[in-house]
Amino acid sequence: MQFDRMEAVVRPRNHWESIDLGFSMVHFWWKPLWKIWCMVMLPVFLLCLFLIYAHHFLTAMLILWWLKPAYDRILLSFFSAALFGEQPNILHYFKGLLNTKLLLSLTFWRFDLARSFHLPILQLEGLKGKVLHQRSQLLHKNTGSTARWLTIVSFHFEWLLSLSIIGWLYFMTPSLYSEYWFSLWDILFNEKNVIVSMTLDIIRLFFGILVIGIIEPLYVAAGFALYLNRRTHLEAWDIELDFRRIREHLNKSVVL
Amino acid sequence: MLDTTRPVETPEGIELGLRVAGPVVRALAWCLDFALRILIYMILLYFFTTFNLGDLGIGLFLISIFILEWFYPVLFEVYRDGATPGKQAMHIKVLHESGVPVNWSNAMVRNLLRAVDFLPFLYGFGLISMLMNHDFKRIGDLAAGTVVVYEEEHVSLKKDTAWMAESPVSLPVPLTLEEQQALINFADRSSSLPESRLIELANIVTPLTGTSGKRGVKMLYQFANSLIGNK
Repeated sequence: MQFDRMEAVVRPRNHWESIDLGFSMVHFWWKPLWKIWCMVMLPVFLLCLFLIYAHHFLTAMLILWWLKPAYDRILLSFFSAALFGEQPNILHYFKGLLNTKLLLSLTFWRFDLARSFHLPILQLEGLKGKVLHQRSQLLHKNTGSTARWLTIVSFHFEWLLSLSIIGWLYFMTPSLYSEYWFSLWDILFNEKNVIVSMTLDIIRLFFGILVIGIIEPLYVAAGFALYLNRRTHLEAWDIELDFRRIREHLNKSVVL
Repeated sequence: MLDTTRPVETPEGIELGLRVAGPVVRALAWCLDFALRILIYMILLYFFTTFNLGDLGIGLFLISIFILEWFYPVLFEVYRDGATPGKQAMHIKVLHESGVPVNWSNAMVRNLLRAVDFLPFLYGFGLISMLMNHDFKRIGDLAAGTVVVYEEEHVSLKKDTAWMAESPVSLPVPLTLEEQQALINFADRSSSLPESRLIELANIVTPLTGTSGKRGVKMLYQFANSLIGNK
């Protein structure tokens, strides 16, 4: 990895601080990020719309949630390219879906609690079998628990934001109509009118995608930053950069 | 360059970087504080019910909830170096934007506006605000001009390491402070790096050491030794 071209400051951070670096990546590149992100989510949105049309709302939400490892790969391709100042064409990002053990991630590893931390090892290092296992164990050693906490906190952020949207809508409802909110539960589950229930389902799907759209890039970027930080500690990237500066300095003074 | 520090200039003209803390660590600190408050409430409730104070007990209990909910963070932030117990456990604290400790008015504004951050549900607005702000400020922080930062880590050299036994050799050429720091850093972290990596790193600064391979590593240890003042 040519970390001298990296657009982030290389320094050994503590674990939480590196998570924050991931969050600032999203903050910094949100414009190009959301372009890619919308393109990823569009087909998923259409698929879910079709399922809702076929009266499978819960299946639609489950699929939206279950496919997260697939979105993660595209997001990680984005972050790893952006970090080195590259802006490849769109197709490049989708290559992240190939050869990265996507099927395993969608099945056995779907409930891996340190998912976003393990993803860069899978996707960027291209290791296989036993070597991969040893490598992830080595990197996991002292960052694993923070990576798990990251997943737990991100999960809570997700439902918290969903409820916040509902709460915000409630606050925005004129008090004249706010009594309808108390029959919302009834409408959601027992509504006979197909158009009303389907519209509500689509609104719920939209907010679901919005919340995943906010949290998932943060989660992936934070996992990526944790991975970078672990390697910075393990391989002394910061010292290498300092040493290169010393060499440049000395070479220059010799010429002078 | 991307980083999570906020530059602050001190009156002496020194540029400092405050390492601002983001939503994840702050959420965990809040959870710890919340758990602690719940514990206090349970103890108080037990106290008030065992003493059979009746309505008076309920009244006192409600007043204590009011006081704790509003002033618990304020008091800790003013009197305990900007850190509530939860923040202390996560090694973060509240500072004024300019790097000085928070005063009463900062802490009051910051924590009164907690009510706004809390809306619409469990810090929804606070989270959105932190994600949109460069310094991870929630609305209360924006109003009070405060930031939450990581505590300074006091770095000290590892004790009893092999490299300190090398005979010190002073540097052949003058190096800047940062460069000297890098040499000491290298020696200090050498115990956690594999030998092949140490040699790789030492080979980069061959112009300085004049040798390469294992002898280069040894040379760097000797430089570092003289830099930390071992005679």
